[in-house]
Amino acid sequence: MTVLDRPPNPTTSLTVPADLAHTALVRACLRDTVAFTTEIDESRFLLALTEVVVDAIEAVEQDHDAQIVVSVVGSPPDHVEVRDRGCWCAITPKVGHLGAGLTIADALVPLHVETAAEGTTVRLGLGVGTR
Amino acid sequence: MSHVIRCELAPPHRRAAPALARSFVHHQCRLADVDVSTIEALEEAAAEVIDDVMADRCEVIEISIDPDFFGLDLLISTSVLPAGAFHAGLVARATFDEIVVGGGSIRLIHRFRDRPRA
Repeated sequence: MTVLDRPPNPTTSLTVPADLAHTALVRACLRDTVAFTTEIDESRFLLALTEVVVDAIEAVEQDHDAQIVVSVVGSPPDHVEVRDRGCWCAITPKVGHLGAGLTIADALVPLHVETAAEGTTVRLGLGVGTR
Repeated sequence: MSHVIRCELAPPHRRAAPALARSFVHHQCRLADVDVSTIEALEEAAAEVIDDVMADRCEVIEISIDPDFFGLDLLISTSVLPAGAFHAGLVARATFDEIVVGGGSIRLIHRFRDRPRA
């Protein structure tokens, strides 16, 4: 099993195998950890998170031992990070339903993508809509 | 091969530990197509163990997903739990097949009786 480096801030981290079956658990754990102000805020964030997590899993799922790390950073939570070791592909929505995940997420929450040789980190801003 | 799902809890988020344990149990049971009443019983028992440990002391919650073991294998770690000093409550003892305490962790094991129909 490969253990990814943890971010330096006080953080709660969920590490899951890169398998789409675990996206439901990621959503559930986020709901357990972050208190949203309204159901609409929660729905928007969870939809964005799901899109980002699915993208991360699809980027590395060829590797049988790959993992995804989802971190809630700050207290009160400031942002959520999704990290994988996949290589970065620019946001280029394709015709149809494929390739639009990050575009959808970007429209729902403040999104920041950090790419490096060792993987990709996507930060989804919380702040507004949480308490 | 075996996989692990692991949640490391920062102190400000540890109050969420009982809910997280419930979510872990629910997830593992749903993957195994376990019936709803069994899921509820296991969730309740896991939450009871966290309450006994005290949620704000839980540092790590893990489940092992091993295709060769048809059951639940949940690990709760806390560095402030002296080995051997923890005694699970009645509900937990009546629900899980095995509760292993030691080395700052509590391991809850339950074997699912009925495999899902093909």
